[in-house]
Amino acid sequence: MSTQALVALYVAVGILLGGLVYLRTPERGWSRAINAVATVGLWPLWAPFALAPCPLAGTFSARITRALLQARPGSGLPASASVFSQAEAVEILQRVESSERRLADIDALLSARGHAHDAASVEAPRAGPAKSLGEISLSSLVQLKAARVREHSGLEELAELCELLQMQHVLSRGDCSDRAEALRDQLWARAQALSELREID
Amino acid sequence: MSAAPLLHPAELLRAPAQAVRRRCEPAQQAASARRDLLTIALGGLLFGAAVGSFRGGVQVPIAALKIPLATLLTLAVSAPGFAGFAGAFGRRWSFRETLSIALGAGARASLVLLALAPVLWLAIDLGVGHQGVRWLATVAYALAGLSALGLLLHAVGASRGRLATTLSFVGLFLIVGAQSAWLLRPFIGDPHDANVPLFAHGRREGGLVGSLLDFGADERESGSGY
Repeated sequence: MSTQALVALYVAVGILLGGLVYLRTPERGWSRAINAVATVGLWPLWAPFALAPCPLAGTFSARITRALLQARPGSGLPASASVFSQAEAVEILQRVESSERRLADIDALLSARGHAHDAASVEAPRAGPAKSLGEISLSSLVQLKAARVREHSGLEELAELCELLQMQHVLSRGDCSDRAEALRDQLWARAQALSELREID
Repeated sequence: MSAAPLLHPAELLRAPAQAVRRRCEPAQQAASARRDLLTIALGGLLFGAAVGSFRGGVQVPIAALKIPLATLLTLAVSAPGFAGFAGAFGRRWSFRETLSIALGAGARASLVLLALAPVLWLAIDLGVGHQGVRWLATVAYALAGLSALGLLLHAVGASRGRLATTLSFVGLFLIVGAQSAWLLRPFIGDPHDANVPLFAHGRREGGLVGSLLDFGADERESGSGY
């Protein structure tokens, strides 16, 4: 095969995949076009990510995205006051994702500090500054564990609320349910509380 | 503005274990890959410009484009092989995970090239000869490769098959990288050439290996080199 034929084949595959990426990218505007153009040139390296099944998210994000998407207009379900707008849904998901990132960071810290603490606890008893450092380390570990519990339970409750909202939305087809409305308000408050947890910490 | 793009190089260089964890997390792979590709392009671009400054003029943008192209070409050709070797030596990585780690290693190497570009540029400016520039570029590539190897070792972990996985990755990358660089040469520009050609003239079939096997025949025929 000549170099020209190889380049033509590469570009043809790139255009095909770029078109697929353009059609499948949910965002609109420049980012969608840039994503497609990048795929044409760099498809062996970029297409596996650009064409990855959605949602590419952690456990809670995936659950919440699924619930929110099914509760949104265009899903075949009736439009009602209990449904979040696009902007609200995006904001909730952003809060969930940053909360999940914090949870992952806490897990990493706990794992690293936990190993260090285990190693230190088997050493000989310490006194003076070393002892006070050990106490600070232990109390930090306890605080980290408490922060993890708060973050995890906040996410768990939010995911459950989203799934409940989805269920209520299905039940209230053609009718605006008060329960769904109350759930919506509660969910919104919980989502905002996720960020407040960080501020308290 | 998010601080994530600015933290990306710092994480790659200073916290390779965390960089690897991020690349193994499906939710973060696309964002990491995007930043890695940009880092490879930017690092290669500036290092290439420094290499091309030996001849100056049009060779600066040409070398600036060729260096990242050689890295991206090498990664694109090697990635399926990496995935195969990873599976063969007991790493349960998905293709995206393998590709993400390879891009991360490439980005780390490109950051080192980016850091060394001013050194090379200064050396050229101080009048270092063609042979000296070749050596400096080779040393820069060796350091960049070692940096990439550091990230790879974190990804491979300590479990069984560590050595085989690492050696197979390095071996494949070196072979494909050498061939890619050979195809795209010249980068610096042969001092004997009045005008540096875009690609080495008089190339023959067989690539780098063919040329090495045929080394004694007629070195001059196989192109301007470098």
